[in-house]
Amino acid sequence: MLDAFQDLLAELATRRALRAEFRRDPASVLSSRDLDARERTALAALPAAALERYAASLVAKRWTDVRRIVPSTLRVYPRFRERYRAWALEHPAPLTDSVLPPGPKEALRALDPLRSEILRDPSLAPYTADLLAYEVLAACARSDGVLRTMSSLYPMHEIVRELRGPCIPIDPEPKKTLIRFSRTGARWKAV
Amino acid sequence: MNRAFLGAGISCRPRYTAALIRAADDPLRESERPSVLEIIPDHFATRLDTLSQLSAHYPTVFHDVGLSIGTLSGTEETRKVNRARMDRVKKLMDCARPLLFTEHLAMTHSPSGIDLGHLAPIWYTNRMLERTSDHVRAWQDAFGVPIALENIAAPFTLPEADLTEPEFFTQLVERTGCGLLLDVSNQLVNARNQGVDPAESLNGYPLSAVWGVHLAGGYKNRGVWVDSHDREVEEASFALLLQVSKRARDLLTVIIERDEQLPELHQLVAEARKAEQVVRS
Repeated sequence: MLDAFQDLLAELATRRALRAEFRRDPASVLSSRDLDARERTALAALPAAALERYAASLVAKRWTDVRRIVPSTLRVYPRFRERYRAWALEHPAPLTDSVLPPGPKEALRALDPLRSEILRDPSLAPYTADLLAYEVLAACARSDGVLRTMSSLYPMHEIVRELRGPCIPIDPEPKKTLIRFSRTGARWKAV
Repeated sequence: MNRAFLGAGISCRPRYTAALIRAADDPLRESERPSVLEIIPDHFATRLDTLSQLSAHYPTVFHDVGLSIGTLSGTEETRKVNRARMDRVKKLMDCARPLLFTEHLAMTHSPSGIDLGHLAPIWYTNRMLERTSDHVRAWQDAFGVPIALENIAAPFTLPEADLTEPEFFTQLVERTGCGLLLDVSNQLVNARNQGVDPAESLNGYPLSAVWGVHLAGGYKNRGVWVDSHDREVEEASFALLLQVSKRARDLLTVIIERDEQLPELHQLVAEARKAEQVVRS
């Protein structure tokens, strides 16, 4: 039963919808789990404000790690934090075995879903999703030395280089490229 | 146990590794040379060569953040991930030969495998005490070095407990022979948030079993103190360190932790030296 207690505590800390349901109807949430009376009493007495603060701090901590590896994406898309946060609040991280440090590991977990969301957002520069992928895959390959590749409709190496300066590319000429990331850096070729 | 105080040091961050290696043999870089380094295994999982260089020059202690000693048991899958992590940590320890292995008295993942990515308080019950003691003994066997557990900055306290946190630590030390890594800055944050006197809040902890101390900066946000690790250590933390060091007869190290707004290496080492003076005063 203590397993169920710890599972529910972790779920409450990582699922916004479940916390809302727990606030509305704690008895219903508690009765759906294999808990004894004492465990139910302890969880019911959890201070809601502190739990909410804790949940926010978990996402904030992950964001602190993620933001370090996506500086160019943040220049092009300053509100990326809000998109990541909204996604992370509903998607608890599964425990996985990885040698990646927390930032690259979390960014890689979020990459596919956030890349898809960004691709559907017409208000963003058309290369934003690929820029995110470029920075995340580069950081992962730098960390663990595993070769990773991506293709893009845009010359991402040129865009990344330009972003190191004061300008943000507005409407880059499409040029399909294949990029390979390794521990030592990124190589690309036109395809 | 009767150990000599090694000195105070810093928790090693990737940004500092090159400078630390340079400073090791350079008499002109003495101000960048801490007495001891704390190693976080995650930072070196694929950098065994760097770890090897650092540990050749500095005494090390290991500090892990993901073994989740407070998770009760778990599924086969979570146990498998834990075993892989332990094997990796052990490999790094074989390389660096640290003097101490430390972890948090906390849960970082649930039994069914939700990775919290940070520390959750554990429930101070007799059952948890039994299971945590089992885990400590298993680590002692696996790692072959002394183990010390750290008090966390508690985001909340789980009600209906059998023991207080100081009682839980005391029992754990008595049952397993482990030590306490006392984060006095966490203690300061907890005491302030609970409205108790920080100095008095130390009473009840097994201070004679404190083998390590952590110091870090924090701040108050919307009425709540946070252990942010992004600024200098407060004088109030140094005052608590002085109080602890008088009773911790086996104190081995004091470590300055900094994760954000990283200063120049010599500035962090200067903070460590201040802590060292406090202990030796």
